[in-house]
Amino acid sequence: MPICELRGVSRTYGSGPAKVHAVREIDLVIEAGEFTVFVGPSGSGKTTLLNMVGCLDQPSEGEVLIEGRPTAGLSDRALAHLRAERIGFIFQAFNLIPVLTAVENVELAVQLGGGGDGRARARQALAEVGLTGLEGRRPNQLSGGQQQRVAIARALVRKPALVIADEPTANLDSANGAQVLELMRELNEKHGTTFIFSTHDAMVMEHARRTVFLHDGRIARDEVRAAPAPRAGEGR
Amino acid sequence: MRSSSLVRLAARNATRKPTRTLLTAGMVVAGTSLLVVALAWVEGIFSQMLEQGTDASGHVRVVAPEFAAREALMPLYENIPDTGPLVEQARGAPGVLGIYPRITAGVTLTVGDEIGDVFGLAVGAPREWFTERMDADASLAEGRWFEEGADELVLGATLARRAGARLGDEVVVLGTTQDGSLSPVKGTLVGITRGGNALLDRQVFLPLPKMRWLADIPEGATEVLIYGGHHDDAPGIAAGISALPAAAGLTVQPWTVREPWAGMVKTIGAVQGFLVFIVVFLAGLGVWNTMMMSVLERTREVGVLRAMGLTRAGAVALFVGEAAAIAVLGGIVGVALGSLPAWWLSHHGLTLSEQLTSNFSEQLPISATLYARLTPGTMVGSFFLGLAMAVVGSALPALRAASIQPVAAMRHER
Repeated sequence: MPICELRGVSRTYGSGPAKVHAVREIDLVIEAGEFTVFVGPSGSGKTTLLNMVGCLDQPSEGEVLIEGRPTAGLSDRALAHLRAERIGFIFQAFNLIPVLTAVENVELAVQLGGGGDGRARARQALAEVGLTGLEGRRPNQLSGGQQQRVAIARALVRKPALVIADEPTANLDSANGAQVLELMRELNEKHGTTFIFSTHDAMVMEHARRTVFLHDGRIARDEVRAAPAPRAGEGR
Repeated sequence: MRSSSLVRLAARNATRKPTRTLLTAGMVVAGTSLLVVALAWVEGIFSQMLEQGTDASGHVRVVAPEFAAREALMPLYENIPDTGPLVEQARGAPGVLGIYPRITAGVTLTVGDEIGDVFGLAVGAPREWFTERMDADASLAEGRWFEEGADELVLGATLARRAGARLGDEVVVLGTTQDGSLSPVKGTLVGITRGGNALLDRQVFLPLPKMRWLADIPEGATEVLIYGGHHDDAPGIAAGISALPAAAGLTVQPWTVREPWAGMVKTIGAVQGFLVFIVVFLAGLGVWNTMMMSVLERTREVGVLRAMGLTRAGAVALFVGEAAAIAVLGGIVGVALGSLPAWWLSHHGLTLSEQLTSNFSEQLPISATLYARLTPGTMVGSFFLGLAMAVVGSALPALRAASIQPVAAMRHER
């Protein structure tokens, strides 16, 4: 069963002459375990598409199915529950809660999903992204790369089926970006978690097994690599 | 989301911008301390008035029905002709500690040879009523209290000043009998009282036999005043008195059904409610302002939390919880700060000028020295009202936070 399926999805904003078609009639199937990238120039609809795949926004037309379940008509509470349980998010600006420590940021994700044993799971998730010993630091005491690792731990701590990453390397230098990508790739392989990115970054595209090119809100090209892309550093 | 996580996050958020948090807390401190002082002050003043008022007019009063109907005219002819049986039977009624027949009537005063043009209210009652219920000894400014059965009288300070009366003067009190005939009584002025309120200072106090002679009601009175241990006991005592054979055909009134006291109780509630509304509204406005800034600054962060699964209700709880965390501290400080002046006012009071008190209505015995009444209930109530300020003030910002869509998390700062 696909993790995510988009059927005839369009999203418009505004009305009348000010009406903007952000995405138009998109049909897309994302299978479990994919490492997929949405690529395109600014305004091509990458973020809008991610929003709908991540159940942050609803399409104006068409339908989005997560693990075979249509999301249209779900209540705000049901959507919040679906996101907390099945979808993790990684943001360009990390978006950690500044008043919480690294471990508390990760633990918060467990508790928002209503899970128990949050502290232990948060520590384990931080260990998995290589941040053992930094659990008690607040975001402003961590480097950009470390903050993004915390964000990855936060996204993965509940073992979601799908992780949405919006330009996750855009605020990182190339070395940190490569490390973060490598980490996500490892987690994808280890846990089979599906990753969907939006990016302008060629390095991210190199890591992807599937690249969806967007232009003016439509899918211009959908490429799938036959073999896994080379690891960061291997082909560079 | 677990409530402990919400509380922790809300408490941490409160430390995010210390100046703003102090500002929010300051609103709650100011509002709570103001409430403590204002509520203690209002309660003190009204309690004083109620206590003095019910002391002066009886916890329970028995009158002829016609007297009750025409009370404003003080009709001497609508009297209880023989109060003896009622006084005797009421002594055995449950909760009754004191029974006093009383006659009141409008009179003029004459001192020396001048024809009097000074009007006052003559009150004739047993000496014990004055000493036990009216705190007569404490209110004596000059001289002494009259002896029962003697040709003596006592004047309130305002009345004595207007009549030019001094201790030892012969004072003629001119009133009417119950059938309307002019009726003078004469007595030596042996004392002048300064009761501290306008009502008492405009009265002439006579022994009951002398007042009975003036009104020509040899065995009776216009009212029988009955007292229990506390004015709150009045309804129960009234029920017991109503069942007495001697009270048959008479009107038995606890103070709670008599004006101005019944209206005063409603007024207390209205005044306190108004004070609470104004203070909670103003402090809530301040909290609203700072919390709204907080919400607007954290739009994307709320979006992130919403994306991670925070429900709308959770977003409301987060911001209301943050305001409540600040209000708990602000409330404690506010109650402590407000209790200091309220405690001082409850012990020392605030004394008004005689000119001011003389302008008060004669129906309301407002004392010249007004005391606050600081009770644990006022302090606890003010603390919780401090919390209410935070909840009221943070409600709209919290609803605004709840309306933030999770998609806000994906907006990039440019």
